[in-house]
Amino acid sequence: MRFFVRSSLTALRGAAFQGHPVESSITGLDMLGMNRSMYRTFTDVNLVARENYCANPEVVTTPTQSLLATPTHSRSSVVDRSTLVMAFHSAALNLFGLILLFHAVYSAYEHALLPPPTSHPPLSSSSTLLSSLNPRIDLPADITLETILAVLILCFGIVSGSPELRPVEWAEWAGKLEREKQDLTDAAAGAGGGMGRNPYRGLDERVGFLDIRGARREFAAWVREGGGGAS
Amino acid sequence: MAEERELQIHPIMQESMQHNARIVSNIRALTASLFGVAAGTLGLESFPGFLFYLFGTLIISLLIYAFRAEGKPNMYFYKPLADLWMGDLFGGLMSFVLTWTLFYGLVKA
Repeated sequence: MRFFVRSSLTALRGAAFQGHPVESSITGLDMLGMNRSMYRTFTDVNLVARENYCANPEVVTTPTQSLLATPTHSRSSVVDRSTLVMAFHSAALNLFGLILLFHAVYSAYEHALLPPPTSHPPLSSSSTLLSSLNPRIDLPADITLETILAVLILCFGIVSGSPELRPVEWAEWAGKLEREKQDLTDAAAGAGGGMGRNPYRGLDERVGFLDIRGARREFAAWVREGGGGAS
Repeated sequence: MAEERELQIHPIMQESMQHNARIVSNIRALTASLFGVAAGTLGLESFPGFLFYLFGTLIISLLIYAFRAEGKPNMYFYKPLADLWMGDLFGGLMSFVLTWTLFYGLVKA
């Protein structure tokens, strides 16, 4: 039975990922809501879980609860190696660009301190360009090039050092999480939550079958025992 | 109506949108002052300076498009034209002008 439910869920999830509308699925939660109703028709475990939750609220979390716990976006403690390498590259690029920029600015400053030449060289002015748009740069070409190169290097370093963008579509986002963090254990997922958490975990890790009457009997016995001890 | 239906079929993660917008605006704020440094050092005046800024933001957009969005802006931005290409276009203009005038004064004066 559990296998059946799981396979049907997988099929439904696949449909959601490919972007097909699953009948009247409205939002992500609504989609999950439909999963729950499907699930309820297959087994009564959801009902059982809820009963059990009423009986012993601290032990059992219902699928609904774990589903509704929206994942927070703290960064996962597990950082893969490529991210570190990338960060190092961008830091090195930024440092190099900053040194270049500093050198270029100081060179321009030194150049400005030089006494002006007696015969000013004619500035290059093309006839096609408007005179107001003509950048009158009277710096040597090497300082100009160095400045522009430094800025380009810094731009590249900043962009490549920035954190990754996240997919905006819910299905893409959830699929990416699931694919990337499949191998993470519960320790990472449970501690950090956030990106390490599979958004479908609540559906994946449900109680398959529970002897609800037995559990209730045990719980009643436990209550009776504790009550007797306390009073 | 059509847009609403599209949103219902493909729901959007609000938090991801905010995250992406924050990253883009961070990059733009950082690089705008950088362009100001370059423009001031080169001694640009009036129109060429602002053209330099526009050109720089275009380069930044291209870099984000190529390296952060991996060439798929539709996956990372709900409205790529507004969020990536035009987003925060003039947000960094003030810091640009600030560092532009500062470095122009430092180098030329």
